[in-house]
Amino acid sequence: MSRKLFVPFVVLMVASLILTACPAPTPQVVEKVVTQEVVKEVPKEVVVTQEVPKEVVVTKEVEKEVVKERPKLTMWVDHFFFSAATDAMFKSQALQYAQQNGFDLEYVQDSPDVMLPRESAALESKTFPDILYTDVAHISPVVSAGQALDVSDVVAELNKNMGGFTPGMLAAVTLDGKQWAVPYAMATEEFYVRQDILDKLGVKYPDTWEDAFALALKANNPPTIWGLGLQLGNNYDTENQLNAMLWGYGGSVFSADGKTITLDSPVTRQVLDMIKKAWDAGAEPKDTLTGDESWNNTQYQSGKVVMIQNTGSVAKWMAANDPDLLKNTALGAPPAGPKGRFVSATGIAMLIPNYSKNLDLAKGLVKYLESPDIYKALLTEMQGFRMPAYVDTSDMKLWADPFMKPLQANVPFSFLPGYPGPATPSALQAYNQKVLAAMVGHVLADNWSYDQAIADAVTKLQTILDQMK
Amino acid sequence: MSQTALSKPKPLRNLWHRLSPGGREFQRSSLGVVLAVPLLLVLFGLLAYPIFSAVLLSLQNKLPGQPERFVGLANYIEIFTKDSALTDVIVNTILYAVASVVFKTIIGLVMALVLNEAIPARNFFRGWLLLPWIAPVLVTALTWRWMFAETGGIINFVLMGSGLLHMPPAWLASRWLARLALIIANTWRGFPFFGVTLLAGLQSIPTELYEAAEIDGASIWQRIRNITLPLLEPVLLIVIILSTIWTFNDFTLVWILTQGGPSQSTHLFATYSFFQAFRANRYGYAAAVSLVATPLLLIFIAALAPRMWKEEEVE
Repeated sequence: MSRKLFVPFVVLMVASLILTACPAPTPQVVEKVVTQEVVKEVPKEVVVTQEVPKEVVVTKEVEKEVVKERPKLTMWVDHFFFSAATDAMFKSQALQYAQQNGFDLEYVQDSPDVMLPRESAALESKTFPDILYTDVAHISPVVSAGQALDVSDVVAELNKNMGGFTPGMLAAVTLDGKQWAVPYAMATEEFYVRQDILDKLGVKYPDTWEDAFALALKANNPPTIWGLGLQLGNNYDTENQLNAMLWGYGGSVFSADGKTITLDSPVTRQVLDMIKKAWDAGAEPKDTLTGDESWNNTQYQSGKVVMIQNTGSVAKWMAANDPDLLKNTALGAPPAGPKGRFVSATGIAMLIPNYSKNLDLAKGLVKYLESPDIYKALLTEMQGFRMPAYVDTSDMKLWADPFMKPLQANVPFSFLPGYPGPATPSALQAYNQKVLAAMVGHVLADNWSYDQAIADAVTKLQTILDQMK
Repeated sequence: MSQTALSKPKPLRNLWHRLSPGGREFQRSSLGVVLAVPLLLVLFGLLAYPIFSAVLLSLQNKLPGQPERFVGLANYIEIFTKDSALTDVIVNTILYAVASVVFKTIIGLVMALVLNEAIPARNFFRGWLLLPWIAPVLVTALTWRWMFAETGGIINFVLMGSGLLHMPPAWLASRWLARLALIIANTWRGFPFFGVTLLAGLQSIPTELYEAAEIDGASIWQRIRNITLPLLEPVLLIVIILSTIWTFNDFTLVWILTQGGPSQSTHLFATYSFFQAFRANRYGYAAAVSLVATPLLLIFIAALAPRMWKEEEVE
């Protein structure tokens, strides 16, 4: 190849290779399940020629019947439940309603890795399904884009059931006084502590964060076992954990109106200081910094840490795989701060796009899925993987289970990012960007001062606020 | 002006002379040019559109579901003035690419030299050593992640079991250890490509040259330095350029092992761009991050390309 041709060729090749690092959000089309055959009834037009006396022939239309095409709804569920049985039950509930009400339902369920890019593409191209079952964190962009249906009427109707929606979930779907999605469930968390170690050390279950950190130092015995299993990597668990600690000490990321950054406060420094001291004392495995969402699960399940905060998934795993560890585990509420006990939860809700051609059917399906009997049946099947979005489900037998009770008890003080304000687009964008996780990462991995790390976080938050204007 | 300079055709005029419809190059290969036109058009479309699209996107504030807002160079200004990750990303990308390619070159060359000799079970080793290269990168990355795990990882298990260490090092949680771990994993994965390609290059070197050198009393090192390396240079340069570009744009290995952490110290341009696009939902900013990497690669290629041209001219 000559020199003259080589340069433009190489430039084009390099540029194209680099651009592969930033592809457009191309949807990955996954047609997982088409649940029913579409029965198309062809319009029938029958013309009968009738001969009448007097040699007059009159053509008379005796039957003209046009049968409407069966309506078809599409529903996306952007993650799997805890078990295949739960997946199957939720799907069958939806199908049952479709069957009873004479429409076809295309039900698509897959992992977030597959579905989220598809949702991004749907947002760009206004092609959301009739019902999107998704994390509340994904709702605000749809609302901001003007594509979500105001479902305040559905929420008001369902709010009469089971003690009404929890304040946290209601706030999460409310923007400008209207509800843009119907809360379905939340993933709240419980605290797991090794009971055998508590007994051995003669200490009580940690009621406050001070107690928890003191226990961590006392029980710390690496490399056999570490005192703490806090999530501190670049993931949502870390963001949840830090949010809850901040709230417990009276701090927050944004103010109650959601418009002012409140992170730069003595409370934030206090929280960072507690974590840093435990870190410097070696009470936490260091590779939490690069761990993913499952890091603390595996640490606890392998007996490497004394305590973690997690959803019910760890208890379920232990019940199935390590009953001894489960027996040696105390499950309870997360530690409290001086200002109260908080769990930073994630919520699931159902959203209907305002351009759906089947608004009434979509609303009907949502209401059916949240009718108390249907809803409780699924909650029971989920076995604590997701918790109710309603305040009062205390009549369910499930909560009699000692491993489920703490989760249910945590529901009322589970709040979503944005607290004490609503889950605004800015709050959720800060949550998605993992601003708090980056802040604590700078302190622990880069040895930044608290002031430096907080200032960096505030800069990011300000950028978010500016962008969201 | 010297006679030599006058007699040499000007480069531009020379190019036009060769490629113009009346030129000898064109006449000689006019059918080939005609046949290549559709492919060139497709290639141009495939390359030009994404490049243009990315440059345009980098000049916009684009959040999912919201209309694009033209912001000029604001994304670039933010990258260079406010983004605390930029220095780490640049340092780490260069370090990761350079160190990995150096190690892959050395190990690959050794592999090629050994496999070029008449050793027992040579064909078996040639196939077996390709395994790291052909194994799915996802599997490779997950395996290395498990091996480097602080608690329960095989490396720490061996180090502590043998009494070399009393406390397990956090391979993936310390800035420099994590970088080292990534370089090790990338080297392991990539050296077979060097080995096999260089082996092909070695086999094209006439054995007479080695025999003559041996008769002249040249040592092994002298034969490698004066015969093998010079004749292998064209292949070596191509392999280095390709591998550097691939390593520079690596994503999977880094994302699975460290997700760019601890803090942001192991992000490459590709992982950081992905993070900004699909975790932070900032498509415009992510495109700008990607494009910032372009000059670095161009400088590298500009540095190596003259050597390739030299080889071409020698031929």
